[in-house]
This record gives sequence, structure tokens and C-alpha cells, in this order.
Amino acid sequence: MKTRFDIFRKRPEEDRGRREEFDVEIAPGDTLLDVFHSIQMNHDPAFAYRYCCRGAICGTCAVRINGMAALACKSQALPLAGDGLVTVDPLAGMPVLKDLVVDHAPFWREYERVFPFLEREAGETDDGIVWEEKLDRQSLDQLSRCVDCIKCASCFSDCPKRLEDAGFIGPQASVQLYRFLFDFRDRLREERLRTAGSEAGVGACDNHAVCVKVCPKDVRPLRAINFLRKELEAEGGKGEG
Amino acid sequence: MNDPVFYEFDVAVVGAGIAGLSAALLIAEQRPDLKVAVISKVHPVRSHSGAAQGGINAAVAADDRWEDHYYDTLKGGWFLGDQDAVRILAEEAPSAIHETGRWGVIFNRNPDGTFAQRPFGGQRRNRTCYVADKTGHAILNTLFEQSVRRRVAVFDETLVFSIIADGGTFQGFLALDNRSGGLRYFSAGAGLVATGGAGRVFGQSSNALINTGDGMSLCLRAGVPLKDMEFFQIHPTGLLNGILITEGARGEGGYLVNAENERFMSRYAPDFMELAPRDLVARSIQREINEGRGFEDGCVRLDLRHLGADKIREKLPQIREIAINFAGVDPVEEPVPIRPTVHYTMGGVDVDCDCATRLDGLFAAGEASCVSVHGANRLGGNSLLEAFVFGARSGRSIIECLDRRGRGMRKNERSLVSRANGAFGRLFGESPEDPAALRRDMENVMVESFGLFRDRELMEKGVTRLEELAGRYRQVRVRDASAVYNLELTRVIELGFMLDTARACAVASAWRRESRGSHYRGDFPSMNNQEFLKHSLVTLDESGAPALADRAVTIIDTEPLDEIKY
Repeated sequence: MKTRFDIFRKRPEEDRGRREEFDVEIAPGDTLLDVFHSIQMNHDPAFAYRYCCRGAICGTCAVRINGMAALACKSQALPLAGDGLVTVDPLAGMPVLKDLVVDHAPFWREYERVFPFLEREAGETDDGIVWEEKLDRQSLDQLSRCVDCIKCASCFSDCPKRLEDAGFIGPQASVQLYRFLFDFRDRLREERLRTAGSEAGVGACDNHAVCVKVCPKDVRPLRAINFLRKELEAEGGKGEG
Repeated sequence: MNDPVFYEFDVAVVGAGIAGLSAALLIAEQRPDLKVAVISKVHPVRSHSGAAQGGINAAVAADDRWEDHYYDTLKGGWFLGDQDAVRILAEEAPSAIHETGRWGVIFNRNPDGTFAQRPFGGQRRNRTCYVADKTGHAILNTLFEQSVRRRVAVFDETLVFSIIADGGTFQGFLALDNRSGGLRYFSAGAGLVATGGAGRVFGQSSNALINTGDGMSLCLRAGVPLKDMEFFQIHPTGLLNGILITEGARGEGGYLVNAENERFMSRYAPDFMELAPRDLVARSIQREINEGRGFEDGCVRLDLRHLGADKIREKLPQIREIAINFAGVDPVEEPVPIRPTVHYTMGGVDVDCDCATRLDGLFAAGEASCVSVHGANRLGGNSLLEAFVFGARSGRSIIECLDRRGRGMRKNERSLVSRANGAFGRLFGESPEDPAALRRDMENVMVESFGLFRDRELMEKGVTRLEELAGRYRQVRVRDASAVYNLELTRVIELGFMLDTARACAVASAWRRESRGSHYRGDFPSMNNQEFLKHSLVTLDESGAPALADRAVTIIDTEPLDEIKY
């Protein structure tokens, strides 16, 4: 079935992007990433996009499809085509290098801001840990979700708050904060609480919940943000007492 | 072409998967004075290590012994693994679990706090530690996190296309920065190749689209032999498009069923059933399909329905997600269509137990290398283990190497770089050959001649066709002259890498006149320890044609069996 794709194009030397339409033959089972391959091979060898695992585990190929961030490799093309003209844009909130390829630097900057690693004493080991004794079921479930994050930057791209306020660390960095704040082995609790409670931190979130909707791995960043807010309240309460 | 930007490092690591990052981290932790660069054609967290679902083997249970892991690995590899190397793998496995845990990996545990372990094929007990069904993802991301903590310098989206060496000594890597189109030269005292496997040469593969054998080809061109390249593991259970359904699905109790609704593994491996070693399961499935007992789509079925919705959701969430997204099938409701898919490159860059290549200062680790620990067939759960154990081990070797031979730019380095740079510039122009068509031809040759069932006639035809394709490749030029994110350029370079690894596989396969592990020949159906208990070594001769040599397998304490039965 021939389907029309309306795709954002921009050469590095151009100040502004333009749109270009491609008619692409698609078959059942084809993903949007297959469509990109077809355009690059059959229509324009200079068409640029990112790809890697084509199995929704590496987080490389996120773009905006009909205005919403998603992994191209995880998006079946036929159901999309059923809705009429398909528009494809690069992720938002980051500079476009070429066509659908963005510069992730702003995304990784926020990631690195929140100490995205376990900090512990040398020689400490995990012998005999029973996680269920350390965390309640809900917190543990959210911890596992945060580990699942594939850093595709979909939530970062589509977060309405982040788009209007680049001071906000954004949903992914919040997920990262949760990942280690709720890991009892970690030694940077004070720093993490300070970051979470700062002006750039989870308080800045406006609860749009777009992050939950666009996440391809069901990480639920807003849930992590809400748990972080509760943790901050509890800590604040202790401080006042 | 513009002259490359020069960088000087003590260590340059190519590849940022589990092997590359383990090496970089070990060096950063033990020797913070050494400058380490990690170069990768993708961002580290995109590396294919992250796709490993099932787990990582280690004799960590109180009643398990590394000696048993050692034996299971040897036997699973049809005794082609070098026993000194396999011993290192098994003996150091428990510390790999503790070390990755120390860095943050949260392994699944039993209610008493011991490590949860699942059964994997070819092992006599549960030995596979796991993080749900995203073990590779969890370990890869943890190592990346620690590399951020240690401020390891990462050059991502940077494609190494040449090793610079002089007089048997490694000097550096020449690379293309995909984001700017500029060239980068990394001069280094020691280099590590940790670029992963080459499954993409078969097209029908579970491998990421980036797994094009880059490091194997780079080493081959630099005069380092490739070892045991005839052995590509074909995973029994891929979706139609090659995406993998992990062995964990069978480990948790999944059935393989043919169109006659028969659990056909009862005819091939009555004791192990669906958990027989991968090569046996893959050939059994292919035989069912070839003999007309497959379904109309050319697949058999993986049936998980009897496990129940709760168990599937809890234990195999990623598998369920993959089946829904990529096959349109929910395993809770329907059996999943599956067929064999090329999964793992057992062969690779010839290294010794310290990960050293023949080129002084150049090391290799992980799937790109062949130590060898997997022999003729890798056991599930041993690949993450190898990447971590030998990645870290290569880091230790590199520290020793630098202490021995020092570092710094050599005086003829610039002229060597500019020669390689000139060859790169000649890649552009009008192309009489379509690289995409060449690539499809290569994939077809590999599947037809070097797939699950091989014989002399098929392989000789395959060798000839690949040499012809390699000749046509020399005419290929890149039409798109743009600098930034030039996908056509990347693909043309990768096609060159793939053709090298494909040709190495072809000549090694034709040489091995026996059946062993993943290498199965209809005309030589048994294993032959008298003649072939040895590794194949492929180099390129002066004309650029593959040449073959061999080396005996290292035997220490275990007499190889003459027949492998489960």
C-alpha cells in the first residue's frame, strides 16, 4: 500500500527546516524505521535519521510522529497510515543537526546534572540484600521502572514544562534522581535531595503527564516525580521538627 | 579530505558496550593517571550489549562449583574452547556478579537474599543470574553510569575505519566523526577493539543494525588473524524480522510446537526438550520447517499460554512487549511465530588469554574477539559474562603493556595517517555499483551457503560468489558528498567490514571438514577430533585474498568427548 509521509528536512547549512512528502510502499509488519530505510535507499541517499537495535531496547530512533514522540522502530506503519497523512519531525527541545537527527547535548546535560550513578564506599558489597525489606512494594516497582529507562529522550522532547522552561531538569533526569535516591546503597542522598528540591528540580513539574504517555518503556516519570515530592515533604517535615 | 584532528591518549577503546566500558572503568579505577578515550559509532547506552535479555552465568550458589560451569561451557562449545581461557571465565564469573552489583546492578534475588538463578540451555543446574529480562540493559547502563562518575572521555557517533600500525606495533585509530563529517586520529599507547559481533552479514539476524563486524575487519586489515570465523550461533527463536525471543522464554517453561501441534523436541532431545543447546534446537526447528511441518509463514510456534498471564507479565514482560510490537501477537493469547535467526559470532579477533593480539599494543575483548571461551557454540548467559570478565582483563593487560612500552606519538605516525586518509578520500564519486544491492547479495550468499546446513558444493559456490562481490565492492563510491550525518558513507564503510568478515567465515567454513557446534555439514555430519580439534586462523595475503592456517586447541585437564550428546 502506497502511503504519503510528510517529513521534516533540514540541511546543516540551512537556517530553517522545510517539509518534504514521500510516497512509500508499505507492507504489514513494516515499522516507521523501515519507511526511513526505504526513503534513504530509494528516494534520497542524503536523508538522515538515527537507528540502531530496531527492537525498541536501545532508544536511538525516537522522533515525533504526528506530533508525539515515539520510537520509529516500535511504530507499525500500516496503522499509522490508516489515519491519513503521517507527519514526522525530529525530537523537540534540542537543536536539529540534519533532517531527523538532533543534538542530544541538552538532554545529556540534564542527565549529568543529577549525579546519575551509584556512589558508595569502596569495598561495600551486596551480600544477602533483601530489597523487599528495604523498600515498600510501590517504591520498589518504581525503582525497577526507572532502571528500565532507555534514554530515548521522548519525554524530554515532549515535556510541555521543559519546552517553556529550560531551567527544569525534565522528566528523564527526574527518573535518574529517583533511581539513586531510592537506592539505599547510595551515599549521595543529601545532594540528590538538594537537587530534587531545587528550583530546577521536581517542584518545577506542572503535572502535564505527557512523559507518562510518550514513554516507550512505561517508566512513568511523573510517578517518580510524585514519589520524589513526597520524599522531599517527609524530609522537610523532619527538618522542621 | 581535510586533515584529521589529532588526539593523544594513553588508551583508546573502540566500542562502548560491556567489554569496552569494563576495560575503560577498570583502568580509570586502578590508574586514574592514565588518559582513556572510549570511541563508539553510537552513544554508549545504544550498544548492543543492552539487548541481551536472559542473564549472566556464575557459580554463585553455595552448592555450585566453578568447575561445573567450566565443564558445561567446554562441552557446550564442543571442546573447541581453549581450556585455560574457559577456566578464567568460569572461575572469575562470581566476582563479575559481585563487581557489577557493587557498581549498581540490582540482580533479582530469592526471598533469603541469595541470587535468583534461572535454568539456561546446556547447563546441568540453574546458574544464570538475571535482572528480569533486561540483564544486558541493566549492566550496560550501570557501567555507563560509572563511566560518567569517573569522567571517562567518550567520543560517540565516531566510526573508526582504520588501525594505524607500524612494524608490528599499534599506533592509533583513524575515525570519522559522523556529526561533523570531520576526521579524528586517536594516537594511543594501547588500543582495545571491543566492537561486538558481525551477525548482520546474514541479514536475517537478531543483531542490532550496527553489528557489522567493524573491529574484526579492522584487525584483519592490520594483519591480525581472525579465529574460528566459521562459527556463527544461530538462535533458535527469532521473530520473522529477526528480533530475538530470549531463551528465558523456554527457561520459564515455554513449548516449541509444530503445525501438527506436536512438541517436536521430544524427537531430538527427549531429556532436555526445549532447553537443549541452541544449535541443536535451531537445527531441529529448521528441520521441522524444511520437512513441511512448519506453519504457512515458514515458522514454528513458541507457546507460552500455559504459563498463565501473571507469570508472563511478571517474568517475561519484555518478551511480551516485543511479540506485540514486532509480530503483532500477544503471547498471553496466542503462540508466537518463530524461526532461527543468526545471533552470535563465536569467532573473532585472535587473542590470547590476556586479550593481546599479534600486534604489540593492540587488544581485543568481548564478541569482537575470540579467546576462545565459547568454542563451537556459546551457552546462553556466557556472552555478558565474557564481555565483562575479559573486558576487565584486557584493562589489566593494557595497564601492564603501558608500563612496559610507554606511550607518545611516533615520528612516522603523521605520514601513515595521511596515507590512510588519502584512501578514505577516494571513497567518494559516481558509483557504478549500488551498495544496497551488493549488501543484499552478500546476505543471500551467507544464508544460502553458510546457514544452518552446510556442504562442500554450497560453500564452494559461496566462496566464489563472495570473492566476486568483494571485487565489485572496490568499484563502490559514495554519491552523497555531504559532511554531517552521511548515512550512505557509513553504510558503504560498514559493507566493506561485512564483506571481510563474510569472506573469513566462508573460507574457514569450507576448510572445516567436520560438524561441530554451530557448524553443521551434511557431507561431514560427525565431529572429528583427530583432524579438527583446532582453531582456524584467517589472514589476508598480499593480494588481499583470505589465507588459512590453524592452531591446536589448548587442552589442560579435560579430555574432549568424541561425540556431544545431551
